[in-house]
Amino acid sequence: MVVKLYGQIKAGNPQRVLLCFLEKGIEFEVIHVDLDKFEQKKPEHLLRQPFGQVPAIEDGDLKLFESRAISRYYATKYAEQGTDLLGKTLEQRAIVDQWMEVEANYFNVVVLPLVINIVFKPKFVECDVALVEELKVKFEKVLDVYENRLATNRYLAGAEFTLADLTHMPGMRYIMNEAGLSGMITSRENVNRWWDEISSRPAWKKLMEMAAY
Amino acid sequence: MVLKVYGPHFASPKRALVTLVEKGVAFETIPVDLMKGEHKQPAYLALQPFGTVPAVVDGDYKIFESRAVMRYVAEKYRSQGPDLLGKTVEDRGQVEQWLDVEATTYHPPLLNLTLHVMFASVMGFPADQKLIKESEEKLAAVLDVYEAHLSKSKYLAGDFVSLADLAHLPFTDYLVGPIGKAYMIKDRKHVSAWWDDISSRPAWKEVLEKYSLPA
Repeated sequence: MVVKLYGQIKAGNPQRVLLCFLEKGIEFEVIHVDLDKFEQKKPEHLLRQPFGQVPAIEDGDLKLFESRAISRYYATKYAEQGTDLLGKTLEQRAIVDQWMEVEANYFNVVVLPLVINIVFKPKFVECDVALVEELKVKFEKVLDVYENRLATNRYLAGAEFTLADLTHMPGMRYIMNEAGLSGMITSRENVNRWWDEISSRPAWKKLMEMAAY
Repeated sequence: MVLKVYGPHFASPKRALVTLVEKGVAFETIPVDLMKGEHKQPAYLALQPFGTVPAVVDGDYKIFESRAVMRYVAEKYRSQGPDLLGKTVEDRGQVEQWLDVEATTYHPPLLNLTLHVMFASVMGFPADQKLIKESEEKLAAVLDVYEAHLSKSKYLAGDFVSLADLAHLPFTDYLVGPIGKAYMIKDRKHVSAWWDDISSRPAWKEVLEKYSLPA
């Protein structure tokens, strides 16, 4: 039985899970949830994800939501298959967890409102320029920490590509493209080198093909 | 060498502390004076490059982010104390799911309430009443989902207490105490029962007793 992912291939959080499946060679089926029509807020979807968000997965009797939790589950369950996304020892895994937390608590908390305010809200209302500027200043400070980390580490958790890097990729894609903030990345030698390397991975290229931007 | 936790008097470090106490792990704490800006000094930034608490040092090993520390401790000491990760990989998936819900959905509006109701005057910025109102509304909507879930499940991840429940303790303690919004918990029957259960655990009582914020 093939795992079903409910979501949209172009949406950031589902992409996190799709990328994990692609890196691990896990077969999946995408069941499209139309976010433009607010299908995620309808009763049928709320049974799968009570907060009205995507993604959610169904794998036989198993149901899970929260893209980072789903990714951790599959990376653990299929540890022996495809890319090793969690590290080999307890200490390595904890550092992967640490940088996954950093993505959720420092990176995403500025990137999400930046993307919303630069890309999505301006379709309906005027862009809140002051807020965007404030967020950009915060984002620069966060990127400075990453620049320093990646000066002495090839990837965020150390010498290998892990979920810690993968979890950043959907958000980074928005920053480099629609949000028009690629300058913040290209101006930082180590972050730039890291993004170039991880976005050259075959699994990422396959995801970009599927998304057909 | 004993594991050290920096910044025990603040809320986020208490996620790590309660996990250590639940698992019966020996540790030391090192205070960090946020009022004096100690967290922005080079010595602290070497431990936690974002300048926030907690930071943890375990011999030669350094780790930060409270929920990452929780996972590390729960995994390292799996065979002692309650199994806070569940028995199976599937159980753990549920634990991770609700731990992420706490981080991405429960915590952000509660953090706004914490900063603007408890700390605005101390930190020297005006309390944003509009943000307080919006944050309460957002948190209420989240608690409605919790109410429905906890009417079918004793704890968040199932019939066992886990990291997901413990992660809620420090800031919810602020919510029912100094933030003055205990009704948000008490008015919801199943959330209230769950809160009474997890907040009366001996490990949590010990953490509060030893490391509460000076008045």
